[in-house]
Amino acid sequence: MDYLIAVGECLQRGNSGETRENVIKALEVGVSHQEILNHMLEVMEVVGRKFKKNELFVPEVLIIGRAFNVALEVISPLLAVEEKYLGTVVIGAVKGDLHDIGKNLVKMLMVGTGVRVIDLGVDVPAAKFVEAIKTYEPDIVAMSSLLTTTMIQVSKTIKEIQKAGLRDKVKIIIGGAPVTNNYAKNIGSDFYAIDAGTAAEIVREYIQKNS
Amino acid sequence: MNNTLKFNLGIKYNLETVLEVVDCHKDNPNYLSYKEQLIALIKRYEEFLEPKGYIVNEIVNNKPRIHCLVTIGGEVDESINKCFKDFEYFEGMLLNALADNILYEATNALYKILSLEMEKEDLYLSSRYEPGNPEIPMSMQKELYDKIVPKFDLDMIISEGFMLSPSKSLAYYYETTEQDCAYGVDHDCSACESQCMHRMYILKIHKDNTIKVIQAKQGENLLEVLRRHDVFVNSPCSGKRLCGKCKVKVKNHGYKLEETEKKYLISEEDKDIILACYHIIDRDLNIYISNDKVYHKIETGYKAFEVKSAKYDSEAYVKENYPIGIGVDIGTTTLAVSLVNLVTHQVIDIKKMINPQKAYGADVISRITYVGENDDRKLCMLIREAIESMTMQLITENNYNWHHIEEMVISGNTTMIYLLLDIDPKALAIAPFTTIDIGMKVCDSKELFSEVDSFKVTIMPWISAYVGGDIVSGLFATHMIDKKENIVFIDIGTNGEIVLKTKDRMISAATAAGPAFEGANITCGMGSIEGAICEIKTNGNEYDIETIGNTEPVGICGSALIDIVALMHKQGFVDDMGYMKEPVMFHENIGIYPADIRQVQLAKAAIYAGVEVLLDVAKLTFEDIDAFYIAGGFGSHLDVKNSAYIGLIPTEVIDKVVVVGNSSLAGSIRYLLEKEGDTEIKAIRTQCEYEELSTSMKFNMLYVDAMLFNT
Repeated sequence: MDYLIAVGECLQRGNSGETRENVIKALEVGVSHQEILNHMLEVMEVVGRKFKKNELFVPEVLIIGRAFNVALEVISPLLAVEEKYLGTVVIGAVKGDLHDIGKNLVKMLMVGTGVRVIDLGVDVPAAKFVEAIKTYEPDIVAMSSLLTTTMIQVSKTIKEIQKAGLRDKVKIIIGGAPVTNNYAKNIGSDFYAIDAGTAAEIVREYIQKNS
Repeated sequence: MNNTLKFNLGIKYNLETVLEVVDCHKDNPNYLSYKEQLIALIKRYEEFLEPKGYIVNEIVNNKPRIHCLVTIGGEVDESINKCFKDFEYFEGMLLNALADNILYEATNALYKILSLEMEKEDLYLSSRYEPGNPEIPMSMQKELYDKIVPKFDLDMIISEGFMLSPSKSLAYYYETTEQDCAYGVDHDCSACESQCMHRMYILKIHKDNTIKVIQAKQGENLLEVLRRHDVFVNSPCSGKRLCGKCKVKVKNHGYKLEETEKKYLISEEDKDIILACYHIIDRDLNIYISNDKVYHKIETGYKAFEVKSAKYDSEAYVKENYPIGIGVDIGTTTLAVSLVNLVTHQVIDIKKMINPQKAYGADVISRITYVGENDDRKLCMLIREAIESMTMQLITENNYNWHHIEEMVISGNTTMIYLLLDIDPKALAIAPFTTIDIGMKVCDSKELFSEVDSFKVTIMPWISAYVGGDIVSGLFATHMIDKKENIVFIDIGTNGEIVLKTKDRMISAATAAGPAFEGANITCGMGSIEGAICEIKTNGNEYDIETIGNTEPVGICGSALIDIVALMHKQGFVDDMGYMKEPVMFHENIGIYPADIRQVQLAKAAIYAGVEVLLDVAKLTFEDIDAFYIAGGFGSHLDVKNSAYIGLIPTEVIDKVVVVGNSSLAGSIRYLLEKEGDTEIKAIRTQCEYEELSTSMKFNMLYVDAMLFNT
């Protein structure tokens, strides 16, 4: 049991080497991979909360994120496909938008909630979103727009998803500096996230409720 | 200029900005380790980060346009992606932010190059027209791409969303005009509605019918921005919101004033006046700086001294031009530089100015705090440049040259000298106030100044952190070491330094008198400049005031403050305990407030009790004092009777006061001329004892007693 606690502690400190080692040791003494993963996800939830409350900042969250993923690599092969991920999210910055700092942060925090994240990158045209929905059948599509000039692309992409008849297959969450809750509602998005921490929290809550 | 040009723009970046973008702020406990990580990253990726600029000149719609493309190669994009794939999220983010910053700095470098080119042709650049700004559609990016990329055959593609790849690329254009319409503003944020963290605002500084434009980042403090761009704003407390003096006129500012700020502005009728330290930059501003040609009353007069044996005898030095020396006094508030003929001993000319460091705080503690918080050598550079340029003025106006200068001597309080020599002054502000011992420092002028010939510079040594070289210089100027009587020497400024000379001892002390007598924490207080009330008389209920320069009164100077407090007590508005029920007004909004009385009480009690403690150490009383020397500019103008009345100096010494003026400057001049100067100054340093008052029980007791007004 001690190794499991050590996994959590090392993870919180962002020490990827030690987190990885303790995961291996925990497995050796017979802790189940599911238990380890759950514990790691609990820690990531705490990290997300601390980040929202300004007790942790972007760099720390990123460093913890690395430790989480390094440790996840150890248990990943042991997990059956259905227990691997709680759900799937497709994420991207809309067409004409190259801003990826915020998007990457959201992506990393979402990975920490136990979902699979398919990153389409930046400057993603509507058609590419539609195609990804067909390929990966995600629970949620997340879009970001950091410019007033690219906000319109968010609404265009939602319309394209509708046209393709995929709108009721996914939930949509949007965010980015110029985006507001009102705008999100008006263009038919399901959720709006004011910051990266909130985005991850919304995804966690939705996926837990529906899995 | 050629129609197509390529530039290597060089890797420039701002570490702080990069770290801020990834949410690494200075208060983060890991800040330094992140910074190191970033520096290591720069070394590792250096070869991929080289920014290049491409320009194409063309007339579009009858207007000359410079089309620009600045780009860093695609290797950076790949490296960033690889970081993310390997879970090195933080490194990826840092590299991304770094590349953005290098790209942005490269566009600034290109702007500078183009501006200089335009200057040659008497043309001006417009601000940057960038696709994505509200008036400029993204499709413009394609136009720019088509104009530039084929000409240079660049390995670059553009997506259907008009995004360039490699992604660390920026395309934009300038127009060129015959009149300056952009005032040197490259990146004009005013048209953009984005909540971008790099948002800059434009501050137009109106002064003497000229306009200077500066740009400032969203969220920066107004006072700090003005100081950084060398727009002088008086700020005695250095932005701590304690003095209410950093007033600036900002037309239609639209700021909401805080309650405490309103209190400081109570006597202001002009609604455009605000306190700079209270506001952050979140809008464009029009700032009016009044043409400040006020007469600064800086004391450069001093009691005459004699030269025992001349250092430069005429035989050896009579050439076509006599050798000259420069005597410098760096005060916390003022700076005086003198030009002395070393053979005739004539003081040819004296220049004076407000110490330029004053914008960073009135007292030494605020300046030390500034140095602690800003690792920029600003205060050091300011004072060095000021001395150099004043010396330059002195020699050119008097038809001398740098090579005529034989030597320079500088005296100043310990903090001033630390700042001049670029020594970290932190230890001076915290107990036990230790100083490093550099003795009587001699160095070459080239170590301190940039454009000078080589000559010897001597720095007056200090006794302690708060009894500095200015006091040593003052003791030297007044021949204190030779005196056989009991003499008290005080210098009242922001700190009060006191020296007691008896037959066989010399004891010094420093008190934290506070800047009340320099007007810093007095409601209507101000320095001795035009508009300051300098004299007050009364006939019944009316007050008759006189101001420096006979202008409309704007405040009260330190020496008048003493007269006013004495008058208030005589008239019964202030009781013996210092209690005052309500303020008394002398002219419209200028008056004295209850809190001012308290400040004066603190200041005067510190001096009085300090003198008492030193006498006690030497087993003497007030009656034993044979002479009471008052040094410093403030001391030269104070009314002795009123000073004794309020208890700043003992009544016993009223007839024994000797005003010695700027004895620090006088000492530096005497040093230039005196052959055995070194010996005498060393003797002063050896003989002078130091009494620490801040830990003295006796001082604290006497200090409380001295607070009262019981005459």
